[in-house]
Amino acid sequence: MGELRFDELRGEQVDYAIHRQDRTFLPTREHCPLCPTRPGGEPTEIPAASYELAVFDNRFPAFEAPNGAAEVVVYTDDHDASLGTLPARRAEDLMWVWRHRYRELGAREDVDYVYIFENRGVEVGVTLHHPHGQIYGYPFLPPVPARELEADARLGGCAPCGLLAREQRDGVRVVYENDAVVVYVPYAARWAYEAHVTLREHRPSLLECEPGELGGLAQALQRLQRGYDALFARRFPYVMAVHQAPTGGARRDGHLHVEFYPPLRTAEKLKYLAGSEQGAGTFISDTLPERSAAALREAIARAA
Amino acid sequence: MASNRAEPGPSPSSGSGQQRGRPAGRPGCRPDAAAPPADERFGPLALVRSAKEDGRQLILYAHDDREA
Repeated sequence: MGELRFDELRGEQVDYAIHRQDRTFLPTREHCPLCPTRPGGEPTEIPAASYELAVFDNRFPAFEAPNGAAEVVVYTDDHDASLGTLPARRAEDLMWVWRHRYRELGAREDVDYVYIFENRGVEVGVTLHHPHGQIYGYPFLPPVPARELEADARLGGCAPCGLLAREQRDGVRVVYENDAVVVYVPYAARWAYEAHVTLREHRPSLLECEPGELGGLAQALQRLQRGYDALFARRFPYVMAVHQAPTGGARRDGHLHVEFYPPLRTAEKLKYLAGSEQGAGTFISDTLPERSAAALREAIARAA
Repeated sequence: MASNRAEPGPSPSSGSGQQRGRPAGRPGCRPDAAAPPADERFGPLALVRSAKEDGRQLILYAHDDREA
């Protein structure tokens, strides 16, 4: 069982989950715990010879009932696949899995915020290479979504709606769009190739999306990931963060969007969070978003 | 204060929640979310739930085009 401590100086919660120190760390593919359990083989987390999508409680949870949740979402039984290479229908089904977990975890009294995310690549600390994401059910509203709600108040309306309108007006940072979503490198991107995938319509969460919008979201996520991999002709690391309305409050504020934070600033160089970022909270970037967007837009088109 | 909880799942019919780490009736958890039926549908997906030896929940999802 973890322990929450409140950092009074920062005004933030810190989660101590010391049992995670011993979690599985970069096993060989023969010992991958997310692969199917082959007949006669070593049992894995998923006792089936094959499967499409799977969700299970994390064996090493950062949060657990009655103080939140931590789940693993496995995209496929193919160890070498990725979100971008899944069949289109499977990617769309993944959106429905996310929606299902948002609904079910969000209904729990001990979950105030359902956070779906994916860490891809050892550069961002991934410990299992099998294609998967995670879901944390926070027993409180974390700082980043709280700041997004503060932006709504500051801007006098839905901040993502306003920012999307600006990006569409400017146009130069848009890298992909379809009927449901627009993908852009944000005006004030912190990471060199940061991208936001934003629903055109104001949808607080996956629950409010039309089925066609889920398909459009899946398509955009796949196109973006393939574009990332094409950008430097290498597997592109990132953190993918799905932001939706909190589930613990009285209001349905929020606008579904997916943010990508890739640590690469060139094919070989990583952006580190150093003195200014960690000690002062100010990102220093050596890449202009407009220039990154042009390169990413071309890579997405090339990888279509 | 009114709750902003995401709407709960379908009502349980043949609950298998008792065998899991999140039993129905756990304090602070809505019954609808804690005691799901063993076999469900959600959108285009068919769900099968089970419990691991240590009580952790496992859900397998498969695409199913048939009408619910």
